[in-house]
Amino acid sequence: MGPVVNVRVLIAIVVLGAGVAGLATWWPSMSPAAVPGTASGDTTDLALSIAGRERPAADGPDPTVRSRAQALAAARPLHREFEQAADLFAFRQRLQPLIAAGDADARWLSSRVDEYCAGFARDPAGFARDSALISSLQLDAARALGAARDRIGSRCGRFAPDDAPTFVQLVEQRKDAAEAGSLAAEAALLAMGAPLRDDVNYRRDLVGRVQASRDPDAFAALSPAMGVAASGDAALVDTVSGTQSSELAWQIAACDLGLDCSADGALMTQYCANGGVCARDARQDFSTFVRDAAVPPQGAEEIDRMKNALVEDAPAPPQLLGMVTG
Amino acid sequence: MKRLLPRKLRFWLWTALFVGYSAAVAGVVVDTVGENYRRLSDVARTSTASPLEHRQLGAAQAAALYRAQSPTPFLALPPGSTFRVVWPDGSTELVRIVSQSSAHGAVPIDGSQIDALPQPGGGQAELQVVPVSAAPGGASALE
Repeated sequence: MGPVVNVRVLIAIVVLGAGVAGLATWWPSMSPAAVPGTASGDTTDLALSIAGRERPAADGPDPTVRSRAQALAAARPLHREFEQAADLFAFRQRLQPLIAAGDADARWLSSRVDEYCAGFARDPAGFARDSALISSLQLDAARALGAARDRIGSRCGRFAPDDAPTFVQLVEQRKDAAEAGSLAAEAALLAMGAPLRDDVNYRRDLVGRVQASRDPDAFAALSPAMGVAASGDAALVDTVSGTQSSELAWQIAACDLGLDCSADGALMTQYCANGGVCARDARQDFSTFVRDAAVPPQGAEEIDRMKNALVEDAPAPPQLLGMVTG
Repeated sequence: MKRLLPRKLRFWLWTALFVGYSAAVAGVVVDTVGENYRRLSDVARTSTASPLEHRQLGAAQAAALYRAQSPTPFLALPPGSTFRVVWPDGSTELVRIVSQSSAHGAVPIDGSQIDALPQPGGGQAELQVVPVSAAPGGASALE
């Protein structure tokens, strides 16, 4: 009797195993990339929120923050031009006199243009071939990915391979900008693994300076360094850092402070074109996209708490207070 | 004979269970459009012998295509995770994700490189993106 029972149990296990195998192999929604976060033992607390898809974008910045952000955006014409210029080659040329005069923002934005256009500039023909290949694959993200690549191809159309910086050249550009006084470039260097100084006090001080600056570019540039890259860093233990959620919180804070986080903005374009992280809904801005696709409702609340700590608890710089209240 | 039969049966059942489980796991990690990865411009001519920058760009491009297939792209190869990339020539290495938005967002891990085995057809190795593990703490892109 015993062996017969064992055989039945084994048969049941095999049938279940075969069922799981069949599902994993054939069920379309179980695409390979749907699982790596768990299959790989990833410790992130993020998960897809199906319910979140129905939620309206009601978690946007409050009116005070929005008015500050609008004021700051209006005070940053070069940054606005970087986001909106149809021809980034011409924009970069317009930056040259400012760069020669030592303007830190112009140096930072020139490096942003070079980074934004590098994928196209390295190999314009290859970029077009890749776009055609990707559009032929009928991916979930095909439309958004195609639009992001088209946007880069259009705005960077006059760039040639000689204009494409290597990673080391990009670091050098940002060192120049940081030494000229660009806090965003200094933050970017930390995120690129090439900080101006590499000690505990410097890292803690830099994070404090970025938060106090309320500079959206600096927030966004610092964000990769505040994600899992900061996990276990004693210098950042009492800051918003250490998880993918904290990286996203820094980016959403940048949106609240005036960064262009629209579907056509550089942040979403680079997430999509460089990383394959594309919003399926073309109307979504970055904040809505994160809440929709990256986190469950409780995760969104956690990100909001972190974002509020970054944006609302930091002192406003005097010149911005003057613009808002004046 | 009565005792032998269940043992044989048990053996084959365990074998079938193992094969079924392996198929399930393989269904998760073997990419269904892997054939297309090696046609990407930053991947096509890359191997473990290529300069570091080429490998960064190629691995990041492969990771991007991998995420673009996912209904949850933020969760697919998130920062801190690692994956094994098999280049078109069959050479392979581990890569760590440091950013999901940068073209340099994937960094090869020193010491993980394995040379290509001789291929009868030459260049017929299929490129795969196989998640391995998540590693807390980002790596310096200048490593």
